[in-house]
Amino acid sequence: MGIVEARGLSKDYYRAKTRVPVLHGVDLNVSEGEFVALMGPSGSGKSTLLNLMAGLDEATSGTLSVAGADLGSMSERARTKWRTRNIGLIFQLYNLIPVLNAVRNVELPLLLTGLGRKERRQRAELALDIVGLGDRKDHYPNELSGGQEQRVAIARALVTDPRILLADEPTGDLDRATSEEILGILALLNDKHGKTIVMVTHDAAAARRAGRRLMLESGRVVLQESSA
Amino acid sequence: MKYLPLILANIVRRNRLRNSLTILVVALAILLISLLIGIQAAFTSASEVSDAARLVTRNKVSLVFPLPLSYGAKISALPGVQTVAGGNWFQGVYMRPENFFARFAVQAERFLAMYPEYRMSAAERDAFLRDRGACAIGKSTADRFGLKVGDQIQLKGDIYPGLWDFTIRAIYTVDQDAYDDTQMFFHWEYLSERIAQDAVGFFMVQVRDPEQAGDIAKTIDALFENATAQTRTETEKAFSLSFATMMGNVQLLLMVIGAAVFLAMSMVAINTTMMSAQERTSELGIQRALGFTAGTVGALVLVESETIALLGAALGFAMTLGLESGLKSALASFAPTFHVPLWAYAMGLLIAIGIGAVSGGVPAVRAARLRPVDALHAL
Repeated sequence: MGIVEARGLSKDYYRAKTRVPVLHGVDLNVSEGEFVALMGPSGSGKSTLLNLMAGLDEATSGTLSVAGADLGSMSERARTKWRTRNIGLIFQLYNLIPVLNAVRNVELPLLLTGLGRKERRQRAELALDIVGLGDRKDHYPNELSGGQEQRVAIARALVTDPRILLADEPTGDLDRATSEEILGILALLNDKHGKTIVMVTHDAAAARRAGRRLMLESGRVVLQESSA
Repeated sequence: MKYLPLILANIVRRNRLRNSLTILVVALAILLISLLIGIQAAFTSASEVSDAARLVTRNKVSLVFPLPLSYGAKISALPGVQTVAGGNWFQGVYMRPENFFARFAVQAERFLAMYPEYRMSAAERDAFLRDRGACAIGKSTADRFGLKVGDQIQLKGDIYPGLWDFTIRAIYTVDQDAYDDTQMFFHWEYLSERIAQDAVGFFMVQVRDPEQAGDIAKTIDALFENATAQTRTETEKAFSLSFATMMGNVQLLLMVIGAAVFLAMSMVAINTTMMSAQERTSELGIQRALGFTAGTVGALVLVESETIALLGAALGFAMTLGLESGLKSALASFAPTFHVPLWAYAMGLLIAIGIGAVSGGVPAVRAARLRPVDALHAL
C-alpha cells in the first residue's frame, strides 16, 4: 500500500459560476520513501494535485489516501491537524515570516505541538543544521540569500519530522547553482532520512533528481518514467 | 505564552512607526476620555458631596438679589433648624483676573460649624475667628500662589468696589477630592461694615433631621411668602446642581467635541490596525498551510490587536497620571475639584479593549475564514 493513493481523483474550480475542470480522474500511487517529480505545463493540475495531497483543498470526486488518512472523509479542521503531523510543505517563494529570525521561523510549526520551549528550540536548530544553516539561525529573512531562505523553509518543513515533504517549484525562483544545492538537500532528506518527497517542477533537470517522474497534461497523468 | 514571541515580533518588528503611532493615538484617546470624565466629575462633585442636612435659602428672583440679614434670626427660630449662616459671593480680583478662585464672605463661626469637611487646626481656626480682617483659604490656592498663614493678600473688588486687605489666618484642607479646597472665606461682618448693608446673598441652613429638610425648606419659603424679598430654599445638592446646570452648555459642548475627537481617534486606530492585518493575508494563509487552525490564526490577530490597544491604554494612563496635577492647577478656576476618578481608568481600559476588539475582530474573522489554498494562490 502506498503512502499516497489516489483513485479517480478529480477537481473542478468555479470561475464566475463556470465549472473549470482541473484534474480528471487521476490515479496515483506513491510508495513510502519515494522521490516523485510532478511535471507538466502551466495549468496541467500539478499544484492542484499537490494541494489535494497536502489536505489544503478538497477533491471534487475520487478518493485520496495520504499517510493512512482518507482525506475525503476528514473535516477541514481535522485535515489541518493531520497536516501538522504528517506533511512538510515547501513553497516556491519560501514564504518565511519576515519578522521572525531563521530559528523562530523553523520553530513555528512546533508551536502547534505539545513540545516545550527548550525542545522546540533544539529541534529547530537541528533542522537548520541538517540544511547547513546552523550558523545563520539568528538571521532574519531579509539578511539571507534566496537559496538560504529556501533552506530555512526546508528546515521548517522537516522540523516536525513529517512522513511526506511536498514541494511546489522549490527551485523555481533560484539560479542553477543554488537550485542544485536545494535539490541536493532534498535528495539527502530522501536518501538518508527516508522522507517521501513529491515535488512539482517545470525544470527537467530538477525532475531528474527524482526517482520517478509523472507528466500531467490537462489534468491527466499522461506519462510516467523512472530513473534507471 | 508560546505564541508571545510571534505576537511581539509582529508589533515590534513590523511597521514600527505605524504601530507606534497607533499606540500613541489610542493613548491620546484614553487621555482625552479620562480628562473629560475628570472635568465632568468636577462639575457634579459638589452636589455629590453635599450634606443632606444643609439647605440654601436665597432670593426667589435671583441669586443676585440680596435678602435682609434679619431673615436669619427668623429662620433660626423655626423648629428643626440647628444653625443658620449668612453669606455673600464676593468675587473680586487677586492680582490678575486669571487668578480666579471662589471668594465668599460668611458668618464665619456658624459657617465653619456647618462645614466640618473644611479642616483646619484649632489654633488657626481660633485665629481666623478672632480677627475680623482675616481670611481662610484652601490648601490648593495656598499652594498655587505660594501663600502661607500670616501673609497679607489684597483683592480688588468688582461687585464691591475698592481694595480689600486680608490676613491669612487659616489654611484648610479636605480629605476628599470632591471637596473644593480652592475657596477663600472671610468675615461677612468685614464686608457688611464697609458697604454699610445688612443684607446677605444667601443663608446656609443646617437642619437637625435630614428627613425633615424638604418640609423645613417649604416652611422657610412660606414664612417669607408675603415679604418684599421672597425666598427660594432648596437642598444644598439641588443648589449645587443648579450651578452645574448653568454650566450645562459648556459641559455639553466639551463632551460633544471630546466625543467627536475621541471617536475620530478610535477610528484611526481601528483603521490602521485593520490595514496591518489585511496586508498580511498571505502570511496568515501560510500559517494556515503550516497547520495553524482557523481559530488559532484568528485569535493571534485579535490578541495582537488587543496588545496594541492595551499598550496604548497603558501609555494613556501614564500620560493622564503625569498631567493630572498640572491640569488641576490649570483648571483651578474652571473646575476646582478636577481629578480623574478611578472609574475613569476602568472605563479607559474597557474602551481600549473595545478598540482592540473592533480593530482586530474583523481581520481575525477574515483570517479565520481564510482558505489556505486561496491564500497560496494569492501569493
